[in-house]
Amino acid sequence: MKIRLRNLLLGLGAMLALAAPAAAQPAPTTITPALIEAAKKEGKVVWYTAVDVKVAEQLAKAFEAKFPGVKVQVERSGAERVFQRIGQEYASNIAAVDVVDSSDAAHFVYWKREGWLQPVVPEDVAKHYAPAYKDPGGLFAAWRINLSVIAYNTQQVKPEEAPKSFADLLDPKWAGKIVKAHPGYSGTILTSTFQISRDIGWSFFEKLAQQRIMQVQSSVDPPNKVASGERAVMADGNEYNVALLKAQKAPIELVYPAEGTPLVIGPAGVMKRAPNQNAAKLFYTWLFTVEGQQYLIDIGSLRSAHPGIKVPAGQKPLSEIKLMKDDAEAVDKQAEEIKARYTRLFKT
Amino acid sequence: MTAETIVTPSAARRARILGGFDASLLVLSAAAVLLVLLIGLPVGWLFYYALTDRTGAPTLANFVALASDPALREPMLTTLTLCFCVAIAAPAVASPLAWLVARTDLPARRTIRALMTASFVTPPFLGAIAWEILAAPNSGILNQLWRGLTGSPDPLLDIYSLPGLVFVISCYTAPFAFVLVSNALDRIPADLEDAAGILGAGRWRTVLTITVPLVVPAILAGALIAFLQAMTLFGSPAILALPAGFHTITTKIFALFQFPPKPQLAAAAALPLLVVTVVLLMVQSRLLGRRGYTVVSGKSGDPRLIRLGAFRIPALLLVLAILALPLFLPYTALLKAAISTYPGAPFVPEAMTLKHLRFVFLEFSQTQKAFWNTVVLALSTATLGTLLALFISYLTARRAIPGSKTLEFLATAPVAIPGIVLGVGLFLAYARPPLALYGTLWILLLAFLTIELPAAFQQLRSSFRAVHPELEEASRILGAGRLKTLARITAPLLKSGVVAAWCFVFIGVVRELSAAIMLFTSDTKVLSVVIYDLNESGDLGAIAVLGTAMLLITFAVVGFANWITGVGSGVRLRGG
Amino acid sequence: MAHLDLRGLSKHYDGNAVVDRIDLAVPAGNLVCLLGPSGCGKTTTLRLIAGFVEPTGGEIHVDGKVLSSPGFATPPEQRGMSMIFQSYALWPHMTVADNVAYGLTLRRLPKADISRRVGEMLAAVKLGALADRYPGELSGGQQQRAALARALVIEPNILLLDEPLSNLDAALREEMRFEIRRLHDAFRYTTVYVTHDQAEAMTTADLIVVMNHGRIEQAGTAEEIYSRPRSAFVAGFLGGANILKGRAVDAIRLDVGAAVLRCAESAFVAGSEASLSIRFHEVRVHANGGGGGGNRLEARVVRQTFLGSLRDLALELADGTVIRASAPPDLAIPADTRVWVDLPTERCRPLPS
Repeated sequence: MKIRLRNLLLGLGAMLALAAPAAAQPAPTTITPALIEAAKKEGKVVWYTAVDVKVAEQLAKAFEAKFPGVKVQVERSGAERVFQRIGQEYASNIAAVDVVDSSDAAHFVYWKREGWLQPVVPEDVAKHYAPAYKDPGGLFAAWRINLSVIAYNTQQVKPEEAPKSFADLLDPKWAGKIVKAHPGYSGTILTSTFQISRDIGWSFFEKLAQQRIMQVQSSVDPPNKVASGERAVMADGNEYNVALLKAQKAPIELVYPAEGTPLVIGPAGVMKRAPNQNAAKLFYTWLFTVEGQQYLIDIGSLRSAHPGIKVPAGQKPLSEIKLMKDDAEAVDKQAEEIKARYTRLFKT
Repeated sequence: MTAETIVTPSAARRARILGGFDASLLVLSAAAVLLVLLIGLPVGWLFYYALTDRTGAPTLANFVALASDPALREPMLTTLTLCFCVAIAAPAVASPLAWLVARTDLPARRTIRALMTASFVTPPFLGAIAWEILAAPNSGILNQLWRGLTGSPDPLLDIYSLPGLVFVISCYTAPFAFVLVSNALDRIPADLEDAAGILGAGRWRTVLTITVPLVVPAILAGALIAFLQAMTLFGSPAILALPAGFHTITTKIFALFQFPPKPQLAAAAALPLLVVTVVLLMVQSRLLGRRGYTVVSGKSGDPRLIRLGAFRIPALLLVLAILALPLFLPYTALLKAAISTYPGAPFVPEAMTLKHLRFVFLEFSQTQKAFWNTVVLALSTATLGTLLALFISYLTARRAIPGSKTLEFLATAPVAIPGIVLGVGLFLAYARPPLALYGTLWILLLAFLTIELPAAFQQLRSSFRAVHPELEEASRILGAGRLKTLARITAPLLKSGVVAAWCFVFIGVVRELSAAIMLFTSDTKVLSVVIYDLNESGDLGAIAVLGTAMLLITFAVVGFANWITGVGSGVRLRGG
Repeated sequence: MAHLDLRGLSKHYDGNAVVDRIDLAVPAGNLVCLLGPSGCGKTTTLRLIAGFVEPTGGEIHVDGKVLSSPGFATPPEQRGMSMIFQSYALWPHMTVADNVAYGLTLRRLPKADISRRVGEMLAAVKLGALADRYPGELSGGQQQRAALARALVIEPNILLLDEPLSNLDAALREEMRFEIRRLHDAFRYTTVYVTHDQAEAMTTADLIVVMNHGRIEQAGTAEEIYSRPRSAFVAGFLGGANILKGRAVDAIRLDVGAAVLRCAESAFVAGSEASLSIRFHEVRVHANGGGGGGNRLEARVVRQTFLGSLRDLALELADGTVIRASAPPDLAIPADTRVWVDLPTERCRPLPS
């Protein structure tokens, strides 16, 4: 209780800080030969990420190909795990992470409050990104946009019988046939759980908990479980993994729920105590270039906040999807309660 | 020359008396301090955290929460059920198997023993993942076959359930029971069975009235190990229980460490594991009681093998079917997953791919570091652990110094500390100055040393007991000092025991997950943690490739260790 | 009580004959000792009789019934025998009483009978007070008695003992020898007893069978074998004897190099290689050359050892052969002294080869 009150106060403080005018916007970072040289001297950058490990590694390889001599060490886990890890490491005075991203935007609210981030504004962010997608203080920016969607196995479910909405998932015919990921592990799921509980209400989860769901951890995993036929339907999970699996001809199809699709903005940032300062800035800046963002879209089927990006064929533009509203500050305040309530309902 | 020989002995004796006194005191205290650092400190912190609140004030609130909060109480009841089932199931399967191998004319007995050892090398979490591929209720290969054959809409097996968890854990704890029981059977003098035979007991009657009761201690020890394994494993329940919506105590402890961490509750939840283990160990020694299970030695031939006759082939098929569960089926599943485009893809050429291999060995930046960390840790833990165990078992087996009983207790005590509890304890103890080891390989080394010490110690203690002290005394009377005797006489005689202990520790480290999961950082990730991470996002293909590579490396190292020391005949294990 | 008959019994391991065509008849109620050095095949013979091992050749008959032949062996449990093992083979998980009762339980005797007979048997071997102990809590001698009790209580047709005393200390061993003989006299089971200790054999056996290299060298009573050994091996193995080798001059005289010795009985073939034996204590030593007849030789004392009840002398004959003699303890002769040695003709036993 004490902790929650403290969090609440700090959260309020953070909101005030966010509301304050962005006076201290730092000068944009560009990729200069001097930066590349300095990064090469450091030799590597440590990237804590929550994006699918295969996407992350391909992105890292593309970066390494472009900047030989700078290795990217990918440390992938669920966003909530990454968040916990950084907390645990910083509490033990271990500064290993250079660049971090999260599918739970609330983490950046927390890290900002703790003063762990440093202002770095990639040129592209400064020039092209809408204010909604960047921190006024230049501490982070929306690196990727993801949706948590419903999907079904096309061999087990006919399109006309597939659920069209979250409410449809409560139909008894789906009992024992639903897979979903965990908000205690995945930032995407924590965010979507927040948005659904806000827009539809906790009663949805109370009823869903009666459907004998299969509980997995990462939002990467439900599409796997649906594609393999382990469960017919997923209640949440990454849109981009569904797309990747479809591309491999797996029997999976996605559904944008009628009530609205949870929108997950995944920011990235550079740590103040990053051990490889220059490599961190180089990598971070590159992540937001057209090239870096296009990789993210082409390799990962994700979505970008960069207006100069070509949307791949077959991807439904965000403007045509009914979206739920992102609210990082509210997630920051409620995260602990959401996880606790979820655990009570779903027993894990 | 003459003057020297006159002077030297008395000088040497004086030096020995002084030096011997100082040395033994020094040695004892050094060993004791080391063991206390390894065991006492983390356990001490556990108790401290369990009995305090966030401000450090003493409280029993953590235990009250443990007893009253169903979210904490239920995992404990689940764990108890799990433990009892595994403790019954594992020895119930392993003991008849051990008997078939040790006492009958079953074909391919040596191969079967070797295969059981191979299933011991398999990390339980990898086995659990493989069984997901096999027996997930809908996509599991076996269930698909079952549906195809019978047309039944219901799955044959549901691995995401308590019975499923019991099954998988039993698969990978049965080898412990198997090794214990088959070793015990090997040690029973043939005379004891012959004596019953000549008095008129038939083969089966002899088995029931003589053989079985004589291996009861080994079966009990097997049940105990199975119980402890079931209680302390983290990977298997995390992989199989969480999807089914229930926790065991270890997954709960891990969850309590997630943000926002509740180390006080985690510590409080860890203590019951410790208490249960200690109680079980006490019950075991009480059960065995005063029946001395040592037997007067005499020359005694090989045991007479029971002829299975017409049952020879059916028995072999049964054994192979049992071995299919921890070995053939899971490895087939892993190999299939390693070359399938996506989990559950049909087994046709179009759905085969090398992308997982490419990913693991060319793209995945963790692969190299994790292999390196794992091998470095396994090699150094095996070497240091064996040396430490050798040292302590020498001191205790030969009662070389006073206080050796205490050392023996300290060296066995880690058996009572589940890996995840130790992980929590070590984190609490070494995550802050002055001993800020968290973030280095040292803390993992400490953890693995502690976890593996009892097994190595028990192996070497029994090896020492097999070397008659007179062999050492003969060397010393001829003028070799204690250390020289140890090097020239004892060590060569212990060689196979030492190699077995080393391999045992090496394998143990490679398959360790529960302590590593609490203690790793990005620079100190080991393979088991990487595989566990991959499982959380369902990357089965990559897991299959990594897991297979990990096993190959284990076998290569163990094989090499046996070959280079000329011990051969694979690992001989003594469960600990 | 049963009559045991071994006919041409052989056992080969990897082509080596461990037991080689043994013929032996053991009359009912007799105690037979198989005596010989280790590796002579005596234990294998015993295990053949017990049925633990199947013969390669020959047959085992008990009361005229074939129990073993090549490719066929009645299993041990159906032979109605019992056995005492060198290790005692007491089951460590059962008390002394349970161990003893085991065979009776198998025979489905009423409970009351079992406990009565166990009680009587334990009393007979003086273990009544220790009935509820576990074997690990007994001394070596007590374990030995328990093993005896367990074997005897079932009233076996045939009792087999495999070096039963070799794990005991000297004093206990001597006591137990008489104990085994006493029990045998009391129960009179047909018994086969394997040992390498001649004193044990002589104390206990009705019939001693000396074995060597898988074959029977000689069978007979202790007295027969001792006084009339038929081979150098038997003579040497039992009681210690000088074996003198040489060439036969005629049927009763043997040229051993240092002298031509005469035996009391004619057994040699003139001109052939042969030997004779004479026991250490039968050699007479005289400080001077007076009197005597028969085989008298000159010798030199190489070594003399005082052994309390006698004096052990090593004597070098003219050709360098060294023989041993047991002389009275008061006959003190310093080393290097020349003496006369008497080898009485009636004690020189011819050993035709």
